[in-house]
Amino acid sequence: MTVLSPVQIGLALTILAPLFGPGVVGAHVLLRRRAPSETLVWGTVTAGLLTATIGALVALGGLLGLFGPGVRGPISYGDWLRLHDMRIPALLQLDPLSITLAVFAAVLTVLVARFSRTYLHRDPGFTRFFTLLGLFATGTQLVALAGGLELFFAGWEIIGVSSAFFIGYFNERAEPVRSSLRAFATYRFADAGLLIGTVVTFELLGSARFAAFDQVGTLPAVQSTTLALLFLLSAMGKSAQLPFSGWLPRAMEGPTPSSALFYGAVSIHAGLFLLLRVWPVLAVAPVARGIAVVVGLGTALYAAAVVRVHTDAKGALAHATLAQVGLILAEIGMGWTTLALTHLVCHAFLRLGQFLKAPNMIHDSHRLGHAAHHPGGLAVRAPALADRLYAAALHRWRLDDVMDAMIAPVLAAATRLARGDAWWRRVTSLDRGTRS
Amino acid sequence: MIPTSPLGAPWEVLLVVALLLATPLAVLAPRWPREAGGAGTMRHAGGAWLWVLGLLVVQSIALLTDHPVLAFTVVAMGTIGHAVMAWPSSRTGAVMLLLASALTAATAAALMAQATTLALACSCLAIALRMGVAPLHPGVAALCARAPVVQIQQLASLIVLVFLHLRFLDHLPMAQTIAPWLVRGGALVTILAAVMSLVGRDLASFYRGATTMHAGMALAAIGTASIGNFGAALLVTVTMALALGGLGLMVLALETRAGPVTFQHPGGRVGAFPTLALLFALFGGAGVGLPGMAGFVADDLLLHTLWMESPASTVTVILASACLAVATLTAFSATFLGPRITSRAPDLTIPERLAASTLLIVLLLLGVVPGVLLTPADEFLTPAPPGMTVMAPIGPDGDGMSGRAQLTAHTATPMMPVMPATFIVADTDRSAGPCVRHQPGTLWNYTGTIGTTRVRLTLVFRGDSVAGVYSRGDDLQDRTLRGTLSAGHLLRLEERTGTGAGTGTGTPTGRFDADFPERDPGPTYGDSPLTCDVIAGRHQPLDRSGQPIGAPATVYLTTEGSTSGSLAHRYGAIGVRDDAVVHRGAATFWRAVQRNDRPTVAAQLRYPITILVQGRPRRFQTATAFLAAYDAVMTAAFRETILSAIPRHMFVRDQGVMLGSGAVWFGRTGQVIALSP
Repeated sequence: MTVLSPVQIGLALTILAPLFGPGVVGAHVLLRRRAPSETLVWGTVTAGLLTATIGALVALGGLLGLFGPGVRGPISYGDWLRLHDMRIPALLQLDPLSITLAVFAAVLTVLVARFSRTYLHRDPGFTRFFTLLGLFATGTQLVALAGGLELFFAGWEIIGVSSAFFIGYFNERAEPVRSSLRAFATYRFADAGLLIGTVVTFELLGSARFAAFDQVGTLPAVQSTTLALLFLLSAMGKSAQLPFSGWLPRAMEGPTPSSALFYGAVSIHAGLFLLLRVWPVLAVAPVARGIAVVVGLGTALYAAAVVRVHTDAKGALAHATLAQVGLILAEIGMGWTTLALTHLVCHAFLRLGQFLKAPNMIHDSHRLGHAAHHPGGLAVRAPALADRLYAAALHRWRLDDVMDAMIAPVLAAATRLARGDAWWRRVTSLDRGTRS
Repeated sequence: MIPTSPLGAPWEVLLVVALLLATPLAVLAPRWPREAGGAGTMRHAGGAWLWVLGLLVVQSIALLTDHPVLAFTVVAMGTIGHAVMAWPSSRTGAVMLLLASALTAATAAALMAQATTLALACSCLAIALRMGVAPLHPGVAALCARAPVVQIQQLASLIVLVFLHLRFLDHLPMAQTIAPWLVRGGALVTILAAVMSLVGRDLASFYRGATTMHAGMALAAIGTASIGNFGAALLVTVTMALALGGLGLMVLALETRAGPVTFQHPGGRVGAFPTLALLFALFGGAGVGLPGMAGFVADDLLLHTLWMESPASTVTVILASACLAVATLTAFSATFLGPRITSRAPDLTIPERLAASTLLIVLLLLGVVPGVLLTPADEFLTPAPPGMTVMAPIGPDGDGMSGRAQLTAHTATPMMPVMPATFIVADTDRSAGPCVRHQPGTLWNYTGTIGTTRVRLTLVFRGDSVAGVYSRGDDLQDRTLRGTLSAGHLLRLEERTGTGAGTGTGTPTGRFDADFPERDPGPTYGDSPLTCDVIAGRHQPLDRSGQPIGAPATVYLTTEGSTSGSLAHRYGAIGVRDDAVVHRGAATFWRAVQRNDRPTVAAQLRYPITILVQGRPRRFQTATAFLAAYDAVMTAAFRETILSAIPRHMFVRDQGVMLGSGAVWFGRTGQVIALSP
């Protein structure tokens, strides 16, 4: 029997330990009539998150050479599935990029868990929140540490699903439910890019491992550019870049701790992490990088305009985050990947603090009063243009309307199809009554 | 270590089927109203259990027997049982099941009559009917709405039908022919059903849409199975049955408590039925490839294989899956979220939770360790290695090959022409006598040895006059031949350097004194009487002046069929103007294989190319992808096969130029268009 090294154990714990809490809580919910206590929920979930953090730190130690020679590169756990010549290995990746996201996501998740215990005390959704937090932590660690696109996609999907449920957390109101649906729909359709990219990578390079991207330079330009654009599409959806920015302000319907973790710190940056992870593909696709720069700068401008007219704290923070995320995307497009990673981590910590403090900030602003508004700059030099910009920003440049207009014909066609289907079932039915 | 299972695939499938058959009854049957259909029509629970037991016996026989006729017959009988159960609740569903039963019985009858194409067609139709593939879905739609228990149970026995189809029918060449249709048709059904489910207005329409969408996916999976995706196709079907079965149970449980659910207003039922809501979400997630569940693995495997068949269908299925995921969350939100309502009906009882949890655990198990089912299923269902499928014999004039050559072939992929992989010299149509061949437009090919050197030789007969050309494996140089055939068997040929049509130009380099013997002096034909099949004799090297040098070498050559054309231009059948183009490409490839020069080998292939790798077709889009799998394709045995052939004066037919008994095929530009390891 193969003995796992400390680094292998650490990495496995980083991913699997957060599932301990959801597993215990899930079994409790399914098999017992009484809801689990807050102590049980918080205790099990936090224990898992702390274990994951320790695991990530052990892996960091392995990378730095604290347990012998430094470990770096793919960490294999053998084949997960083998069908004739097709092998799907259980493969993780340990390098500075992966461990950076793993450690900082683990630490932030633990902090948010501690914050939320007080913030959500006696909230009816306490159990749900912490169960989803555990799932989210596993998803994030999968994204951070995956050694190939398939495992990465699994984590990516878990983040998307938990994000949708967090947005719809206050589900007695209609608006959060609608917002969660919108965010989830955006995620899923943008995720198609990553999924197609995974299949295409396997077909073009013979493997979906990240290591296979070393060969991407041998591909014709059309193929590598297509691949890069598919990844960029997914990243744009996950990081709310134009034209997918509409779901982000709606995502603020969720509880503040989840907003902080998802849309201030981790989830919103996952798209950028994807681009850093598949950087070899972008490196040989200048067209895709150019598009990334344009989209990033466009999003930054859009968000900077909207943030100036937002009247709620979380919405303003969300757009401020978006502006920075746009800039990081542009940095990646320019090829400044080290700067982008540094910017990403620092920005994540800053926004997490700001989001968590947002409720207090409102309190503080009430206590301290508002600063007087003095018009200047564009409002003085070109008041008409300033007014138009103001109106456009108020409507968030009508992004949602544009997206709705694009989807409307599809839904209309679907309705017509459904009518045709109902007619076909009616004429072929031998049953009495309406239920068929 | 890869987790697998000590059980064989049939037993594992039987376990899943038993679970799906029993789950509805184990918990809910005695309390179900008549409207629930199926078991609710039973007078007492004992009858329902007996019914399940009977169904299980039928499915066991079908899964465990090696006799396809018996297997399909008992499945047809089981389907009649489903129809009888469905009749009181839904005549549409019952008639659909009866039709499916008739088609399954027809499959058995066709198999008995060895009408395999008809059997395949009947089986496909029966599966499509029972899955609910649009536009054949009204029956399944009616079952979903009126007899959900029967629908869940018929999903269970549908797994058995698909298993039989994969085991007995999907290996047929016709299955590969119809695979593109199944894949594209399945993909179209998935997107139509998924888009329709987006605008559903009640829970029933969502469930119906999900069922139809999954039916499309399963159909596409069955299509890809015929090109080597057997285990994955079974996993897709099992996942479909488990996820839809669980979802159906939850819909049924909710509607028996709260009545028909519409999406007109927010449902707000999560407070009243929290466990039901949780399980609904999990089964719904399992159906749309939630990571950790079997659906994720099934989708992943399906998409990889779909891409080989049709990239457009792959994208379609991915978009359909996204649509269904959104529809699932919409249905969940509309059913359970919103202002809380109170209900006097209880949440799921403990036995109900246990039953649903069991299904969920199987989905999780297959998601985390899919090898438990996939590995034994794939080994059980994957057909024998290439070369075993016997195609119709090819006549002497049909394609220019010898009447004594019978072709056995294995298709690399349905998108490619059928490439002969192995020639087997048959014992039929052989009569003793002189070698009489007066066919100036026909090239007769021989391979064998001169001394220890492998050679390839082509002759053209014009009465007693013979011309030809041959190449040696050690230098791949052409030598022209000219001589006579006397007494119907004595062959005397002069050999000269250079290429040409046997005009005799160039320097003399050797002489053949050989014979067409009536009995094989070598090991090829045994005691069978021969005519022009073997050339045996001696080869004497000559110097520039025509004087013998060195000792003569033994010649032993056997026939390898014929092609039409001329010595100067033999590859016209595939549109080649200059044979040298093909010869250059072939020689480059052959020498690269000899040196194990991987980049050059990869560069000589025309992409995309589909290659049977260890019995499974894999499509390579680029040289990089091919190089990643180089060792799996270019095995030592395969390289040996290639190197034992000589890349000159090769056999040609309309599909390409063949090297090494079908191991390699070249196109008109000299690139490799097919490899058959």
